[in-house]
Amino acid sequence: MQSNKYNDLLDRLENEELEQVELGAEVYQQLMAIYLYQNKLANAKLLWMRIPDKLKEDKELLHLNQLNLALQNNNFAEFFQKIRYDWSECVKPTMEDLLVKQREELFTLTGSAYVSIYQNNLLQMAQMTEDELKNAVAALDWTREQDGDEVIWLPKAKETPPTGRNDDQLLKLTEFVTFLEN
Amino acid sequence: MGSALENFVNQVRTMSASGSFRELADDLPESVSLLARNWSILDNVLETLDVQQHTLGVLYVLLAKLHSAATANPEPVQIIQLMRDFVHRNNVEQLRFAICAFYETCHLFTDYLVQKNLSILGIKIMARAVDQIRQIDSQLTPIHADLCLLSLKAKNFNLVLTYLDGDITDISTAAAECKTQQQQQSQHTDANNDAKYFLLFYYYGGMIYTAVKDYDRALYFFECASQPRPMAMSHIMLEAYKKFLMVSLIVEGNIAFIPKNTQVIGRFMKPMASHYHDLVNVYANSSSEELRILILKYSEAFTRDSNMGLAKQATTSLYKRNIKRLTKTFLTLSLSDVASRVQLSGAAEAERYILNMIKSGEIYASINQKDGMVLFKDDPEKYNSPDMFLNVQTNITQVLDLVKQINKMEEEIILNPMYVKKALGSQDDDLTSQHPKTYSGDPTD
Amino acid sequence: MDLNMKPSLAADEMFSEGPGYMEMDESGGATGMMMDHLPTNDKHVHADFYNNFDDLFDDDNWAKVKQTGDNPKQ
Repeated sequence: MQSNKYNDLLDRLENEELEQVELGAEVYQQLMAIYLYQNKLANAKLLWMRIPDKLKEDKELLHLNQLNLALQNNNFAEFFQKIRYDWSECVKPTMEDLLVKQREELFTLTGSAYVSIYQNNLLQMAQMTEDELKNAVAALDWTREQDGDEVIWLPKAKETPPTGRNDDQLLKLTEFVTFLEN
Repeated sequence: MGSALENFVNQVRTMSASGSFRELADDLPESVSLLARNWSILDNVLETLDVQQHTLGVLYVLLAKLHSAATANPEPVQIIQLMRDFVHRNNVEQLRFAICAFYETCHLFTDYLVQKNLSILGIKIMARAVDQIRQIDSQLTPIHADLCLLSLKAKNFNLVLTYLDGDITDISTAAAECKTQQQQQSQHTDANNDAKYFLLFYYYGGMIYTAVKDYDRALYFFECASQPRPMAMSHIMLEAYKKFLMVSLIVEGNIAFIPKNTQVIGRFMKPMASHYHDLVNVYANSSSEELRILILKYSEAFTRDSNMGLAKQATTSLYKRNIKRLTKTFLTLSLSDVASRVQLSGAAEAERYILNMIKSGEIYASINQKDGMVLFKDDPEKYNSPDMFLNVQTNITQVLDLVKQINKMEEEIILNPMYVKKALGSQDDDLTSQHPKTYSGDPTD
Repeated sequence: MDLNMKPSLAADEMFSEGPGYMEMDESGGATGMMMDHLPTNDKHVHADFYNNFDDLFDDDNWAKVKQTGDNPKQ
């Protein structure tokens, strides 16, 4: 999935914001959704700060900002909890993409940051049922261990992609060496 | 329309028609007070002028409108529309004869929008104004600061960042522009302001980069705004200096270099920024607890300066820096050990910090929940991946471009008559009559 | 050389007053003159510059901050 997926829409919305006075909540909702999806958290924070006070009472905007806060604080549990919401059509596709992306992010991060992690903690972070979690980690080939009453998961270390070389790279290096010699 | 105003319109129309723009630009400053006095009928005047044909005339009416805005209390929408229309439809060749008046109009327009809380609507207009008046993309103008101010007030940086990201190689100042236009000491020129707008550009720019968390760039901008060696102590420099210290701690963990203007800093800035120097000193002790206490003690001052957020970021950065330090000495530690060594509340908080730092690539480590330990690892980068190659390649290209740029600037300097005169130690005064419009590069080179 | 250092030279030179400094004001040069126009007897300048912003750097309390700046709706 490319993070530039929403770039055209984003350009249009950002432009609209610079030209009109009386913007409705929808423009801000979409902007917020895209910033969150594209992981532009500084932009998302500033967006919330500049949304007119009146619109900050908009339910959906408030809810989007709770996602924003969760992401800013790296709080996965809060995020996966708050993203379960009946989103309006204008942000729904973005929210679905964001959910997929964050799930992936969660397992990539825990996969690389943990040698072992308790299932309860993982369930809490991912806000999944046990079965959902089982399926997710099975696909990643993680190992299950029993630690007393508790289940503990041992993530599988990610393989590094093979190193590629090609003529173009060689050419660029040659150019640089030529420069250094002159 | 009074006869004086009719004369104004006739003068604008006649002189514009005959192409006497320089003469017109020289005469117009005298009309400003007349126009401002007649603020109530300026719209009638505008109806008789065409932005494209009578750019100078319309500019001065706009200037007068903005000057009288406090009395006239015009509809903000109307002012914004007039400015938008002006920057899109004016004739730039004519405008160049009155650059100072244009700068002043832009400054007043910016002040007006800030006052009316409508800054966001001025961003595109001011960006367009910059595009029009700068002669090359890397030229800094006094109205860049206006664009930054509007963006800061609006908390909207998408557009302004494209203006901040490029390097500056050349500067347009009101003083220089007005000399070439022979309007020196005209009532609309305030050469004192050139330094102010230069400093503001870098100060506001530094704030913008800090807000979007591009700290390296922010540090550089604050450095530019606190480094110059002036005769006097500028409050902009002082505020930039405070933020320079804060961002320096966040980025580097210490004050990487002492600014060059030690005299001004020692005599004026240091005493006025003493809280900030205390903070730097306490930070150097690496005790998060001491730092927290100090920030609490000075919270009023930091809040007053709108620097409390930066102070808190400095606190977070010290926790992280202390954790990072542990990775240098230990292979493995228990999470509660980490917590007590860096003064965090407990194992859970330590784990949270470590996870975030792994995520952002600040450290390499793996957490073992089973035994509550963390294993610190070396940077796995082997410099053999295609990504790294691309990275190196980008850097090389940047350096090569920079070399080209330096060579070009050096050539310009060598060909500059003033430089030649100085380099040859010549007494020949004839050379001073040369008028290079702008000047780039380091003359001491 | 640090890429970021280049404009710093331009900035510094504008205010420099050292012996190597070229006098460009006669030529109408754009740079170099600014600080000459600052009143030298006055120790403090730019006291009135605009610096009234919300704290944009606070990562904890930003969600609750009420607008003091731009707010077209009010």
